[in-house]
This record gives sequence, structure tokens and C-alpha cells, in this order.
Amino acid sequence: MKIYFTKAQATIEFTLAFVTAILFLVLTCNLFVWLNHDLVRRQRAYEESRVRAASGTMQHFIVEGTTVTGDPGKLDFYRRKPMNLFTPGGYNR
Amino acid sequence: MEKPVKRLNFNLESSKKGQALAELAIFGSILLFCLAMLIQYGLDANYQQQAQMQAFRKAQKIAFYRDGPGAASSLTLIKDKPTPDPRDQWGLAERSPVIGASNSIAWNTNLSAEYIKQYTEPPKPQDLPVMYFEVDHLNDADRPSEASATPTLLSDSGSNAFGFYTARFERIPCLPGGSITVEIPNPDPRQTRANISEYIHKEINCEQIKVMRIEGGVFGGEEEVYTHNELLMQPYFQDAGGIKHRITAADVDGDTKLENVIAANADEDGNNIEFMYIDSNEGGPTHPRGTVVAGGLPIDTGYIYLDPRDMIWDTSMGAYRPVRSTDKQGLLQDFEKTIKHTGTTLTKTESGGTIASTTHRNAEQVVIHKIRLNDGQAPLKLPVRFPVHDDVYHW
Repeated sequence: MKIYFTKAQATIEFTLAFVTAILFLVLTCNLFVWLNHDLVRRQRAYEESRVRAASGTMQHFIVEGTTVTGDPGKLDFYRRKPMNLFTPGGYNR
Repeated sequence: MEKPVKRLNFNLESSKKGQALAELAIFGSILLFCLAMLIQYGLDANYQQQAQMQAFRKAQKIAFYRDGPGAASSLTLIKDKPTPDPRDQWGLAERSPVIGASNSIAWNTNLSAEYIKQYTEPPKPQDLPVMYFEVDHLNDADRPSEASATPTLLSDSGSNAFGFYTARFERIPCLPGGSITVEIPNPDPRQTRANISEYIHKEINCEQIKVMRIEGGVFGGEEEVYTHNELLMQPYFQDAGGIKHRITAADVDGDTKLENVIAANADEDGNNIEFMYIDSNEGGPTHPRGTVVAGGLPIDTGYIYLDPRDMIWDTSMGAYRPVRSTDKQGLLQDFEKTIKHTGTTLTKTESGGTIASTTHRNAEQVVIHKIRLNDGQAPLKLPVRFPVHDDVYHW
């Protein structure tokens, strides 16, 4: 009786550990993908805003005295996508 | 039966009891370590990207707000970000990664400096390219006095921003009977097409050199030679074929390196030519014949002799380009970092059946960045002292 119980315990332990390991794997992969894609998205958004920042219109704004909208250093409109760590497929869902 | 066997069985059963715990401890810590390394990698990449973006914005701003005609503005942004390291058992956010980003922008290139347009006044420092170093964002109180005592501080646009000119305007006479070497376009079209050399070097006597006022005229036309003593004008010479060559790049100080000739001055007879030039190679206030006009760092006039034993491979410049290790310019990679643990206090409280202990660990980090500008210049040290912070741990 005692022997059977020990065998069942191993199965239960394996099942729980396996599920946890798979979840952890998904989490790690999703985090890695999100990190890398976020760098790309941010760079792209940033570079798209550089044309506006360096345009002649922007210079005109600065000369006119508009400090916030004409500040070439503050043109960055990037919002991060939320990462869904435990969802297969990650944040793209 | 025998005593050793019994003892062995007993030990095995005992170790089986803790096997699950040991597995959890080993594999769990490995998994957590992997996750922590991943987060650290993400943070590093994020900080690096942020520094590059910020450096570009700041360089853009500096270039725009400068009074000059659009000389290049270069900015190197240095940030010492506290990055958590999972390998540190104390969890101290060590400021190990030095994040530097550099950008160079020229703005308002449509406007030209007065000295270029009119040749009526000497060039100003803002007509020269400028290089900025910005080291972290700290209040002045956090900054030691050495940094603020930087003699070449030209701008206070930021509390930790340092602006430098790496070249200067200088004057030097073309001595009577002397000669200079000028660089002119290669007149041989075959050689130009064959891409052998687009420019040739030609030695010109000082008597052959004339100065010309180009205000309101076109170079190469029939303008009169203007000889007013107060004005700076464009030097040129006429070759055997009657073609006038404007002198813009020439070796005027005899160091076998080309200098940028901005303008020239002459007396009423058109003699005693005096060049105004920018020497980015060497020269400076102690030059035997030159006179500093404006701008620039104190530059060591000594020539650099290359010793093969001192040469290293500068991989950033491409393969097979030897650079003397002490000749590296700009931000040097060998920064100094010290972490001083100023004290650790342990407090323990016992109440009822629980014991709580708290450890305060004070740590101060000092990072010194070295910047080398121009030949022979000793590295300029910019120390950044990060304030003491308490790392508190609870058990």
C-alpha cells in the first residue's frame, strides 16, 4: 500500500512541476519577445518623430517662442503595448 | 547485520527525505536566475536605446540654439544607470554599465558666418565645431568640486554638460622668401577619372600669393586686388596657365599637414601675407610663429612619435588600423569605479514567537570618466559621486 502511494505521489509531483515549468517557459519566451519587439517599436516611433522635430515648421515654432510644442527634444509619442506574459502568443493577441 | 551497512541504509533514507527540497532549491534558483538575467538584459538594452535617443535630441537642441552658422555640434551622453545584478547577493544596484551615445548635427547651414560672407571680421568661437560631454543628471550638490573647476567649461546648458572646442583660429605670417604647400584640384582629367588622386600638392612662394576681396564678385573674375589692411580676404595664386586657384587647404605652418585656410591679410602693397587658419592637428598658444585668435583648448605642440610597441588595434575603426593606445581621443573606455561600503548595521527584534532582523547597508559609488582631447592632452577626469543610499534588507 505504501509503495503505490509513493508512485502516485511522483506522478502528481511530475504533473504539477511540468505544468509549472511549461508556464515558466511561456512566461520567459513571451518576456523575451516583448522586450525585443518593444525596442524595435520604440525605435521606429522615435525615428518617425525626428522628421517633425527637424522640420522648418518646428524651427518656426521655436522662433515664435513656443517652448513645449516646438521643443525638438520632447517629440516622442511612444506608448508601450501591454505584455500578456501567460498567454500563448504573447502580447500580439 | 554488519554495522556499516546499517549505517549506510539509515543515511540514504534520511537523504531521500530532503531530496525534493534540494531539487527545488537547485532548479528553482536556476530558473529564477535565468529570469533575472533576462530582465537585466532587457533593462540594459532599454537604457542604451534611451540614451541614444536622448543624445540625439539634446544634440539637436544644442545645434539649434547655438549662435553660430551651423558648425557641427557633437554630444556624448554618459549615463551610469543602476542596473540590478542577480549575481550580487546583496542586490546592490551597481552602476556598472557606462552608456554613451554620440551624435553630431549641423544646423542652419543656410546661414554662413560673417567672416565667410564678408571677410570683414575675424571668426568667432561659435563658428567652430563644438563637442559636448554630458555626464549623468545630478544636482550640483552631488557633484564634487573637481568637475565644476573644469577650465574649459564653455557652456552651462546643463549641470553636468561640458562643451569644448577642439580647434582654434590662428594667424601665421607667410615669411618673405618663404613658401607654403597648397592643395589644389588635380588638373589632369585622366588621373581624376582613374581615381588616382583628385588633389595635388604644389609649393608656392609667398610672393606669388595674392589676396582678393570676393564681396560682391565671383571668384576667378577680374576683381581688383584689394589691399586694405583691416580686412580679411581670400588668398589665391595664379598658375602658369593663368588660372586662379583659391587657397583653402594648405600647409602654412610647415608641419607637413594641411590646415584649413579661412582668410588672409596683406599690407597695402599686397605683401606680408598673414593667413588665418584652423589647425585641428596641432599648434596652439605656444606655436613658435602662430597667434591664437579665438577658441580652442590648450593643445600640446609636441609631435607624436609612433612606437610600434605602443600601438594597438582599434577595432572600432575597422580592421588593420593601428592606433597608439595613448592617442585615443574622446571618451576613454577605461573608466574608474569604486564602491565604498560605509557601514552595515544589524538590528534584531524579538517579540512573542517571532524574530525580525533588519540590515542597513550603506554604499557610495564613485564613477570617474576620462576624456582625452587633442594630442598629448592628459585625460580630463570627470568624477561623478552618487549619493549614499541605504539598502535595507528584511528577514
